[in-house]
Amino acid sequence: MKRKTKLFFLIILMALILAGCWGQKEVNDLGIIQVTGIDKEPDGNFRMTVLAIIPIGGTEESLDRSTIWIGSAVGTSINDASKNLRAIAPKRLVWIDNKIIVVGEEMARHGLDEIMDFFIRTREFRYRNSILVSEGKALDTLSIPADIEEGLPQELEGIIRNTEEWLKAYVPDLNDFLIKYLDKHIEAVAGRLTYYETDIDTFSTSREEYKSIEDNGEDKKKKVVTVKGSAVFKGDKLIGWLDTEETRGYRLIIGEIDYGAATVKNDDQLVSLEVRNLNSNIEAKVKEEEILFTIKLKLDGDIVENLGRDNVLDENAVKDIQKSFEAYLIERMDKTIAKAQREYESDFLGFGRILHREYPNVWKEIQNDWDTIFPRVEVKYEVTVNVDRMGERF
Amino acid sequence: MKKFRRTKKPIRIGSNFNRKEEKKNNRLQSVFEEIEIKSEKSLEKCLLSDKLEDNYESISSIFNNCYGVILRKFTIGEKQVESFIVYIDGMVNRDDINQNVLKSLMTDIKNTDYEKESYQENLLSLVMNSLISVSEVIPVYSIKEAVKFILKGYCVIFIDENNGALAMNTVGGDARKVSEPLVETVLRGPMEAFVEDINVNTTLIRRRIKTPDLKIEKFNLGRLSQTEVVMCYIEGIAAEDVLSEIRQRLSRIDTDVIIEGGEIEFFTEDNWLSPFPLSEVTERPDSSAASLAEGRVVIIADGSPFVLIVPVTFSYFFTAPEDYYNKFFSSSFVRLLRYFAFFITLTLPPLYVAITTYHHEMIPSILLISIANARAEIPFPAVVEAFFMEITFEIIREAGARLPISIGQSLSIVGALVIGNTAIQAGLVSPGMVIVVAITAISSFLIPKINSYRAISVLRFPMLLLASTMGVFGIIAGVLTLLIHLASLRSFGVPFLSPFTPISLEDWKDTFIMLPKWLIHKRPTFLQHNNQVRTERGLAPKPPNKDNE
Repeated sequence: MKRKTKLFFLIILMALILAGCWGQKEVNDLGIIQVTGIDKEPDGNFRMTVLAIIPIGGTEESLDRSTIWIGSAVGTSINDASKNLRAIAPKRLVWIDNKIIVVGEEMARHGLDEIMDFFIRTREFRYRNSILVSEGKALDTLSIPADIEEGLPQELEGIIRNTEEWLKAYVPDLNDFLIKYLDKHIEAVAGRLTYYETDIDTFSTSREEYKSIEDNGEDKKKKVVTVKGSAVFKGDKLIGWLDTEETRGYRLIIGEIDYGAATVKNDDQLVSLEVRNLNSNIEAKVKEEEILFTIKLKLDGDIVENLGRDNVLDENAVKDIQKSFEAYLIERMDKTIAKAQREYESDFLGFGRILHREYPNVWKEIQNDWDTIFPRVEVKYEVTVNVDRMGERF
Repeated sequence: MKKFRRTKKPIRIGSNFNRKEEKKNNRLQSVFEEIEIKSEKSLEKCLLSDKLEDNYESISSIFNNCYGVILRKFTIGEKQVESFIVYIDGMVNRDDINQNVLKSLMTDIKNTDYEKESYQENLLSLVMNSLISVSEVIPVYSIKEAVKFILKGYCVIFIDENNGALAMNTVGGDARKVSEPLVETVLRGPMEAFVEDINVNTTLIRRRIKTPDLKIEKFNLGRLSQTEVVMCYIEGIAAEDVLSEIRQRLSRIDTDVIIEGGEIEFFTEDNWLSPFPLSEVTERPDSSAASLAEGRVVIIADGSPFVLIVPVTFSYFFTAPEDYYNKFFSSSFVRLLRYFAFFITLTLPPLYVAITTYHHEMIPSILLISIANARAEIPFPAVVEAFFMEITFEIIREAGARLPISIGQSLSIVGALVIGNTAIQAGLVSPGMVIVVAITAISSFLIPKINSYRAISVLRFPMLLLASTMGVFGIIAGVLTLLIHLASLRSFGVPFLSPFTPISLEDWKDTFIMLPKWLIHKRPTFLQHNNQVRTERGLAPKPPNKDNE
């Protein structure tokens, strides 16, 4: 063989051994996990619950049952629990497509430190996972059947996507959550997953199906999952919940809004505005031992609903609307801050961070006492609402 | 210009062979020996004798058992000089012989000076100069030459007491007429195609390039076939080094038959191990003429309507004749589509196999679930599926190529559809794989040159192997290897990847995009450095100037 040919084959042989993608996995051997839930057992172990899509070959028949598999296993650490799932999993589980992380309430109150490392260190988790805290055990919440979608993962995914534009809930990515979680100067906030019971059907059936259900006399009470509000942490422990109004205030202060809506009602006048172009700024000012924070909010609004006022085009009417809206927003933000300062004593709004940025010397002095100082800082508001679109009717 | 690799010295068969090759070539050699022996025999009488009977006997013995060779004896004039003509029935135009040879010699001679007693001149020269009204008459003086001319379709006349003979061009016979191209059809453009007769082919080219600088050099290749092979080029535009290289390579061919231009290609190509063809094959005179004007050389072999164009580069395989006749946008779009299709046909099945086997993270969510569901019941891994489908498709395509046209098209389509569908239903392959293979196969048809889609189809299988063992890494390694190989190829000294490397931006006007002809000012720089300008500048079309009206 010529020298060149020998060299060629030698290089190929070396390349095969040195590099390459070993570990071949066929796509249909995978169990594609969509939702991971973590609980704390009474004896200190961790329980991991997964919702996975198990590919079942169906050619043309539609299957009666869903292809979503719920698996739950206990382990001494969270990694251990994830491996213990293999005892019951029919396929090889991968987390590459995981979309939602649900932490049980008890687990969150105990502290997230033990499980955060698992999510960051594994190569399989994406940073776009949404993180939620569930009321009660994650296992219970994840066992609730879905309404109309094929399974709970798709349903949750859809609900979370919806809350991006609805200010009464807040669901962060793992990325955003971690940024705040690991930052000493701000506390993290996660989403809140809960459920309610109802006897209203959530999907429409034909009359025949309805009749057959009625004849069966099934128990009509159903559980429906919902995402609203948010969960507040102090350090790594869950401290409490924010309800819908407080979450709205939180989102306004944080300023991570592309779109939102709000209704203001005064006696017999009602107006709804849709919010665009929201700009939020927090400024700190230290004056002789007194710390003052000013929250500046600027937003544009479109009127979408109007009751009680005759002519919305009138300058006075517009000014009136703007003023009442500003008052409304201030009230909301105030409520949130009250909760943060008095009830939870957790600075999840980032005041400490801003003080650290603008007055580093002052911050150096007081950072150890920030927990006691924070409830006593003064907060002022400067809100400007600009209403420039009125809709079609006048 | 660039330096060429040294060409080897011509090998003479029958000398300096080692024993292994001698045994191999024994069979071949005996054939040659026959010819050698025969011509050696006549070498003894290499000159024609004065006596007609001797000549008659030599010719009849040489053409012993040759059906079709006619020897016609007759007498000339009143003096009854004996003579005979030899021709091969079917290769000559019999009317020509009857009217212009026999009639002139038998009857018209009575009106010449020959009949007078005082005639002293050579009868042969009289016949050549005054009597035979055939356009081409060549005197021959040896049996060997006479045999050569007879075999070409000439009519050779032997006259008593003259030691010469005359070969008259009465070539005729039936051949295919100029018709539409078989393989390289275009939507717009000339519909003429080359035929088997080399004279018709050179005429088709001459009709398009009307300059005396169009030189056509003739070679006779093949000992048994004596095929006429011509090399056409435009003097002053084609590079001298390329020309001398081609001449050298053509003249050293020593084999028994040359049937088609492809056999010439075997002897003259730079790298026989490469799957990429290093000379272009076409049956259209218009693209041949355009290539001549660019500085390339056209090699035509008698007996085949497919001609060779050398030197050729990689970008040439993505051009079709109608690109040059259509508008800028459509041509450029189709060009880009072809490059994209080449990329698809090379890498789509390997990518599919690699991503579904190793890189599941790259697949979007919903697609992942649907692929997993589709593949859940398939017993084979993705690689085996891919190989199975690819080979099936190649079989169907090759089978469809051999069937008569009326059945072939529908059978291959129906076969592919039915086989694909049934395989899916039987649970042997997944629908995704069938789609991938179908798209790949159709993309491979986008490349307009006939000799290259086979090459690319062959390359797909090693890529599949690489992808199945090493994932995307393997695909990249394969593509890199291919790139290195392409970059090292040369076609008659011209680097194969010109004008991409060595880069020459001027020539990019004809690669990915097809700029209008008034923007392409120079000939390709990789072919020729002198005489570059072909279109003058400033010829952009403009609306008429209203001021000057």
